[in-house]
Amino acid sequence: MNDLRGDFAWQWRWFGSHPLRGLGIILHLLLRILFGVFFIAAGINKINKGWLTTDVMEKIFYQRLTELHPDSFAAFFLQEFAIPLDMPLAWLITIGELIIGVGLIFGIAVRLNAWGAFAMMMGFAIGGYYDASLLPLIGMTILFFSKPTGHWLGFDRRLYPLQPWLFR
Amino acid sequence: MSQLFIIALCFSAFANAQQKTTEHLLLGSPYGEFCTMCEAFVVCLPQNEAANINPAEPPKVLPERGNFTLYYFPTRTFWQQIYTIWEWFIVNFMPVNSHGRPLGIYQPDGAMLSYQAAETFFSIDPPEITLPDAIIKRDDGSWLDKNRQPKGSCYRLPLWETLDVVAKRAPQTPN
Repeated sequence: MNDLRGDFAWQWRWFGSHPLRGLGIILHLLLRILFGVFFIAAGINKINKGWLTTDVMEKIFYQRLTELHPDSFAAFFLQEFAIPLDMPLAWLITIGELIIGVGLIFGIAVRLNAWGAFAMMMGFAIGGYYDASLLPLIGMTILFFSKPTGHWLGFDRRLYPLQPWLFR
Repeated sequence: MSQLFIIALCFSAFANAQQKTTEHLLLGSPYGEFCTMCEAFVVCLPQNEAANINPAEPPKVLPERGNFTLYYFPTRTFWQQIYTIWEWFIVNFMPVNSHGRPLGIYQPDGAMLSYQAAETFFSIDPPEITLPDAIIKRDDGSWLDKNRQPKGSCYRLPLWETLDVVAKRAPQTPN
């Protein structure tokens, strides 16, 4: 099958002859799946809290606005961009988290989903929700983007011939 | 596809065990616990001074003089912020009811304020903030000593105005 796995194979013999690389792949996949679970849980939590059906997103933005310095870029960003677009953003974040989570768990368009997660977290940081926890999470998205993990484990390997750009 | 649906249902079930709303608590929020990057000032007044305060009109400025303790709750430390990844993850499976963060304690020193750095511990259940020298009950703002005897009452002050006051009265401190 045409894929990007190189010589990797789910065989004891392969792991025996490439122990360090094998360990790296296992850890990489474990991180990817945990990251996906984290995103799905976050998306479901937002649905449960009414993000898609109420003005909770707007309230969250207004609350954050009171905590930010009035002259900061984040305050400007919230006032001029995020608050006027609160409902589309609530949908984008919630549905985006669910799609990214499913994609990462099942290895579907992993690189595109990793890019989406990266963009989402950069948006959180710019919008005044920066904290140090974003650093390892952003680092993980770069890691997922850099390797064809959906070809190691996931549907990308099977879908790659249909659309190489999307499932690479 | 059915596997996806079952997994989504499982996540939906455990995601319901999310963080409690803490809007009614001191430094609480309708969206969960006092946030990682939030800062706040709380002034605590002894019983004799707190008795003169109308609960409907809590103080909005730091007293010029008198006996009070001003607690400053800054953002959580770098490693505490990293740790929030675990807290956000585990909260899907079990409640996370407490967290630690740094603390600044200001006390009147003439017209100025003295400063002491410390650590504090926020809890939702029981609803308390544990300080080195006292406890603040978050449901009614009461200020207790280490033996849980009433000591006074605590009130949240506006952040930016109080930062300005502290910058003038305690210019050598980290703020």
